[in-house]
Amino acid sequence: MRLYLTFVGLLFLLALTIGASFLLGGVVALCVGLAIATLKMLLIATVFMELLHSRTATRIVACGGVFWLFVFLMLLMSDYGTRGLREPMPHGLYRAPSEDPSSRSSSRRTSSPSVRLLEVSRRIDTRDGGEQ
Amino acid sequence: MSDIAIQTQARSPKTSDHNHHAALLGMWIFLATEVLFFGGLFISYVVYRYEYSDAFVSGSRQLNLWSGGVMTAILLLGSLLIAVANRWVQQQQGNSRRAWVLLLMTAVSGTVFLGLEFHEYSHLISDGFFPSSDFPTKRFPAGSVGGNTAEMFFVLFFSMTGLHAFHMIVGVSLVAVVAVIAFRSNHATNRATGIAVVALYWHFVDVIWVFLYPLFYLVK
Amino acid sequence: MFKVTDQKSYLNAEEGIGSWLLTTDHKRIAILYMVSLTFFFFIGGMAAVLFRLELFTPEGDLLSADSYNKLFSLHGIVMVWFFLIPSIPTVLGNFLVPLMIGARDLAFPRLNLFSWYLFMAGGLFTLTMIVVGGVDTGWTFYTPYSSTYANTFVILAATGIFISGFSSIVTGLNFMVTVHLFRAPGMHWFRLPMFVWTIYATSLIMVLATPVLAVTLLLVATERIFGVGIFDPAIGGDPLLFQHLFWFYSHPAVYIMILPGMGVISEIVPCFTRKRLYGYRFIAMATMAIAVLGFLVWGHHMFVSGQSMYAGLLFSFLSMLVAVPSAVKVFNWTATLYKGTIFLKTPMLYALGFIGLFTFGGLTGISLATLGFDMHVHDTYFVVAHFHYIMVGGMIMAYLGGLHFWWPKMTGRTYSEWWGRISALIVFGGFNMTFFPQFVLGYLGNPRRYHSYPDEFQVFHVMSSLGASILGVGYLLPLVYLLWSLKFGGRSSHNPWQAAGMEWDVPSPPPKHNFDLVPTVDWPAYDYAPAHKELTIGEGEPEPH
Repeated sequence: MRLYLTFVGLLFLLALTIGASFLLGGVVALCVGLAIATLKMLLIATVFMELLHSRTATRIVACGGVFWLFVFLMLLMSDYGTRGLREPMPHGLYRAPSEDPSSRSSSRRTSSPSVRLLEVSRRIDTRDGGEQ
Repeated sequence: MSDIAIQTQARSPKTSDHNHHAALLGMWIFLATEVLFFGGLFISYVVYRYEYSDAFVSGSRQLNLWSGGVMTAILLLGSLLIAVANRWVQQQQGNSRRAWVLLLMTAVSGTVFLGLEFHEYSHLISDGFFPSSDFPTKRFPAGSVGGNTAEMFFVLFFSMTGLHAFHMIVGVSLVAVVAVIAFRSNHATNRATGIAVVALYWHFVDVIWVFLYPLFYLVK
Repeated sequence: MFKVTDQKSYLNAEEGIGSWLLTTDHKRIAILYMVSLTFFFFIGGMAAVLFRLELFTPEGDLLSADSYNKLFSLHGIVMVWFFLIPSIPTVLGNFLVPLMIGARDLAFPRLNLFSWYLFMAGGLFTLTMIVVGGVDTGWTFYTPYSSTYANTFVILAATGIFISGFSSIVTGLNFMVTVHLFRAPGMHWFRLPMFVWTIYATSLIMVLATPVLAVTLLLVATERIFGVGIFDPAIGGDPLLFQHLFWFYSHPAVYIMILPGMGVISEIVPCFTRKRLYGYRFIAMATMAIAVLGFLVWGHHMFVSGQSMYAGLLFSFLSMLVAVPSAVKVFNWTATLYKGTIFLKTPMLYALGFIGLFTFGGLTGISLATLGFDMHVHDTYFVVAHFHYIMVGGMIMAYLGGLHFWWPKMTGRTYSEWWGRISALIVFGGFNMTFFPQFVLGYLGNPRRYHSYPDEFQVFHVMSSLGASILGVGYLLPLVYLLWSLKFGGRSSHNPWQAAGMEWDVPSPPPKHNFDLVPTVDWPAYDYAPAHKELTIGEGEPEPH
């Protein structure tokens, strides 16, 4: 019986997440969507995968993998979140050059990546020069 | 995966019980590995969504939210079916011999899911959204970083759902094999471990999709 | 190859090549791994010989720049993924973990055999890659070079590593389940030999880190095939993301390589000092701490890559933290030596070499974790010397030490102690002569990965190359006298070193089923009594065959 109830709960959450996506936007929508997905994951893991009744070692393993991914993410974002912060170089991975974007489709595979990389390195060079 | 039946261990009188636990723990450790395997892609998703959130909104508009919703529901149904089958076999209820029917239905639900997914792929590919040098950049708003970053959305979409689809194919095959074994054998204990392990894998693949759905289809 | 003894051992329980290739016995699988790893070690070593020859002279005369690039890539790929990472876990770990915890076999014996086949399949791809033309990206496969520009066999190399990665995942999984569920009655966690602890910690890293490498290589291969990918700057991709993903695996991989080595040392040192391991619980906890902290420091490979300098600060701090548990271990080994009755047998010589070289490598690691100093020596021979002190000076010394320690157990034969000691000394001397000059070279600013260099560096390079040839002799000697011992060595008793530990309670070589009776453990690990005067250890039974 618990299994069937869980399934109904999962379908309800699915409807909720679709509904929320029409009402909300931006970061709020992302947070709500992820929160609902997490709830679904917890339902599946605890009831369907019987995590509630399994051994401690199993529970540690199950939480460990997810926790470790979270640690990875946090440390990684310590780079992307602060890259370029209070530095003369503008924030962000890459800005599209002012050239017409339509020209890229023809020549991109051959020259464009290197050209763009060059551009970035030139920007770094000028920055270094500016500091000296 | 083929190592579900484990060599007998001299020490314990309840050998089969012990081996059942070992198989389950082994599968859970494997699933932790899989979390990190998909994790590499989820991490990349986070980085690029953080950098190019506009591109993800415009890319997501090209996906069919409703078909994605139906696919999610079908996967959840499959999870329910295999969970019930597992329960029947573990508790050795009177209907445990019928478990193979549920397992077969699980495999069918997985196949339907894959059908819908490939249908969506073919649509996207015929519209030219498969990442390549002919990607229709102009159809996306330039935004703050240029329309070509919308292509990154599709690179991520195809690699993440593609990897998931690969896991689905493996899952469907495993469930089908377990269903055949369950159909043939009369001793529930022989197949209990196999079904439990495959069920865990199936649920895991399901959980991955539960996250993929809002991350790709519901970006606003 | 192995002589028949009166009792049926795992070696002669079944006959024929098929009984080896289809075996599920953990001891036989260990032997399979040992043979294949030795093969890969010599392939990687040959590459090193060639480029050390090239570096004899400042000009790039022996090898072209291209072949030089291919050779150091080959050396890195083969040594890292086909020797160092599998070495101790798959050879000594496979053989010893069930014996040490009192189990019949690993949890999943067939999976264990499967992992050897995966490893060989990965190796086959790598060998194919070498034969058809090699790869020139270095073992690190940095994008966008590997994904877009390199004209070598990146996909073949990546496939080989991908497959062997799954082999190590499967191995790790197997060890974890075994240690959790298959310990003998009374074998509590804190009665486990330290070797089992380190194998457990290593398995944890294998299971959590290797999948990230697998998916990263998959992404590089996809990018090469489709021309568009996740690291492609043309669509806003960040090549640095590759480095993050790669080092999230490859830094912990360093601990995959060194932790089992530490386990071996923790077995050898108490035996040859006749003392209990000092601070057992501290070492066990330090092992787990290294495994966990090792995951949090990968950014120190990227200090000069364009990563945020704030992230650099964080990673620098975290890298310093790893030094704490590592130092705990060194102090505990040293404290174990203190007032012990030290027997300078071959395994002990390797162990002492390990402690010294690991300390030196570790200290230079702290220097490299310092942001400012790393800016100066990044991508120079300083870095090369640092990690070779850990990988070669640490890991290979430990592997050889462990091999000499457990050789009588594995084969039932004793090797020539005299030749063993000589080769341990040659390895130690040759190693230092090879890699110490490279610290100087790096500090003076000689960048790594070039086939030519300015004239003023020649004296150091010549020293290094000469040292490498001595080191080569040191590695060839054990191959000779250990193989010799199989045929002509004396019979070993079941416990030639009079060591503690359950693996010494079974005959040498052990019977196929390991234990006749399931042991019940009621003694602590390292149950050594202080040595009495007449104690001699390591003497084989007198009559040679």
